[in-house]
Formats: sequence, C-alpha cells, structure tokens
Amino acid sequence: MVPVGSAEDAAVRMLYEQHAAPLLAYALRLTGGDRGRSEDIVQETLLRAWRHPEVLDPDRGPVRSWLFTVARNVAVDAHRARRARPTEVGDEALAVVPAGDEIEQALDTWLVADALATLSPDHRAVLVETYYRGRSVAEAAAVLGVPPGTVKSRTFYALRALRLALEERGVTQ
Amino acid sequence: MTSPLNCAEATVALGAYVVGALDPRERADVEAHLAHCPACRDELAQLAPLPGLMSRLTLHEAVSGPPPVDDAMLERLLIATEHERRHASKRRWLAAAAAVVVLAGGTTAGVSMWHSMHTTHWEHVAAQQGLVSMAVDIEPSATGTALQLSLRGVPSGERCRLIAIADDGTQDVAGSWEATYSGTASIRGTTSIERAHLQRLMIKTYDGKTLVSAAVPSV
Repeated sequence: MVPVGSAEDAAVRMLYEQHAAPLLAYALRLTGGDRGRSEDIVQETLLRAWRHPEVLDPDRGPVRSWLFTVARNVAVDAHRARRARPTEVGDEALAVVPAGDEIEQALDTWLVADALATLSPDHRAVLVETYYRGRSVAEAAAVLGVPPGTVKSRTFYALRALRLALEERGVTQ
Repeated sequence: MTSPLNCAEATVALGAYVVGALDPRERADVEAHLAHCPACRDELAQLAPLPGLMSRLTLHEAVSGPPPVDDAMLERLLIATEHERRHASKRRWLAAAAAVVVLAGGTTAGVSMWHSMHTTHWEHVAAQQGLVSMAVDIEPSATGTALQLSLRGVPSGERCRLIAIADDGTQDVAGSWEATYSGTASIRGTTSIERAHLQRLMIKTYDGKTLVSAAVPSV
C-alpha cells in the first residue's frame, strides 16, 4: 500500500489555516459562545469541505459563503438532534440562528474583526477608546496618556489603516 | 467658532469626527471647513462607512480580537481525514475484489458478495483530550473484538497501551507500542472482550496516566 501522509496532510493543514478561524468565530456566534460545540461545528464543516474539494474552487463561487452556510446547517442539525433527546438537561437554544441572507453579514463581521486585529496596538487602542467605548478625544487622551492632538491623528490613521485592511479583504462598503 | 481650520488640521480631525469623538465646538469647525472643501469631503466619504462596519463587533470582540484556534483542533481534523482516507482505500479494494467476482461468477453473486463485504460492520469511535486525539475502528471478531487505532499528539517516545474496558469493569490490554517521533501511531489490536460488552477504550502511558479515553456506544 502506498503510504499516505505529508501531501494529504498539507492539504488539510491549508484548509484549516485558511478557514478554521473565521468558521470558529462564526460558530461561536451561532452557539452563544459554546467553545466545545463550536469546535465540533468547525470540524464537521471542514471535513465536508475536504470530502468535496470542488467547493474550494473560487471559480465556482465564494468559498467562505459556502463554508458558513454548511456551518450554519451543521449547527442547526446538531441543535435539533439535541432537542430530540428530551432527557438532556442544561441545553440552551442556539443563541442566534441567522437566516441565509445574514450569512454575508456574518462573513463581514469576521472580516472586520480580522482587519481590526491587523492594526498596530496603538491604532487598535485608540479606536477601542473613541469608537467602542464612546470616549471623547479629551477622555481618550487621558486614558491613553497621550496629548489630544495625538488621539486625533491616531484615530485618523487608524481608520485609514482599517479601511485599507478591509479593502484587502474585499469589504468595500 | 474659533479660527478656521486649514485642510491639514481638518483632515486629521476627520477620524475623530466620524467616530463621534469631537466636542461640539470642534465638530462645528470641521463642518465649516467641509462646507467649502471638496477634497476633505472626499476624504470624509472614504471614512464614513467605517463606523457602520465597526458596529458589527461588540466592545469585547474588538478588544479580544478573533477567537484563537489551536493545534488540538487541527490534530483532530488531521486524524479524521486520515481515517476516511484509509476507509476510502479499503472500499476501493473491496470494489476491485467484487469486480473480479462478477467476472468469475456472474452479476448476482458478484453484487451480493460485494454488498456483504461492503457492509462489513466497522464502527467508528473518536475522542480527544488536550493535544492527544484517537480514532478507533471496531469490529466484532471470532475471538472478541478487533480494533484499528489511529493516534496523534502523543509525546515522542512515550510508551502507551490501548486498554479495553468491559461493562463489568474487566480491563484488557489490546495493544502496546512506543510513540514515534511525530507522535502518531497506527495500531491494530484485539481484545477478548466481546463487542456487546465493550464499554470504553483508553490510551494509557506505562506509568498509568490516561492520555485519552472514549466511550463505546452500547449495542
């Protein structure tokens, strides 16, 4: 028998490196943050992709959309299976089961998180203070220990960097 | 309003402007400049969609970043795909064998033969604990139960045993080996415990530490 291994493993590793992180983020949203169930969803989704490598051909359509759709179906199936067993306790509903047209939005959400993560710590910090915590320039300056002028310029350059990072990921609007 | 902003000042203030961090006086200054500066309005148009996109994330998500994936998840995927590959090659071999039978004995015999071989009852059990993952094929045999184990993530050189546990608590060593450098192992073992009584499979080190354990569904 021909030994299988490295080449096949490399394909699996590539699949994992490209898609596991966004799928996990999405699955965590579907399960309300349940890490174990989310990992199961990611595993099953990537297995299905591995069994059908033709879906990974970008010419056939957006790969990640397909993966997210599969992940959602896996999550819903798992949820139904659990519900069918009335004896199980401590089972909460899926936190969010988005409709099909919400998948694109979920994709964007991950892309925003991914783009934000590529910013420098200074840039990320200034957006967290001004936008996510809703602080004024003066308040953010006090929290970050830099002059207000620096908060302004950092906010501007942080947004520019974020815009660029999003464009690189195909998010235009 | 204070002194009018020049373009450089206004441009730099646009970031704080779109995220709503300017105080009312500064905001008015920026808006006064925008009213007569097409270049700054263009710049604003570039930045304006960003708050909407950023609103997709909660504060917590923005601070903590995307959830990290770890090697254990990859190991689990690798072992699952390896397992399916093995099954696929087994199926191909059986199909080839069936084809030979078809040639020799006619269609009906061939198909039923292929069918009975194809549906040979290999069950599949998998488990993961930390970095160690295992997948086991289980099949009843004449003397008990046959086990085909794939294991990943074991510290290199670790000596391990596959332990089968029966529903009455009886334990049986179904195989033992030393982990390779890559921490993988593919072992064929048997246990005298009959499939119907097999309850659990465990990988233990020689010093008694349990690396991973899997419940076997009852039949």
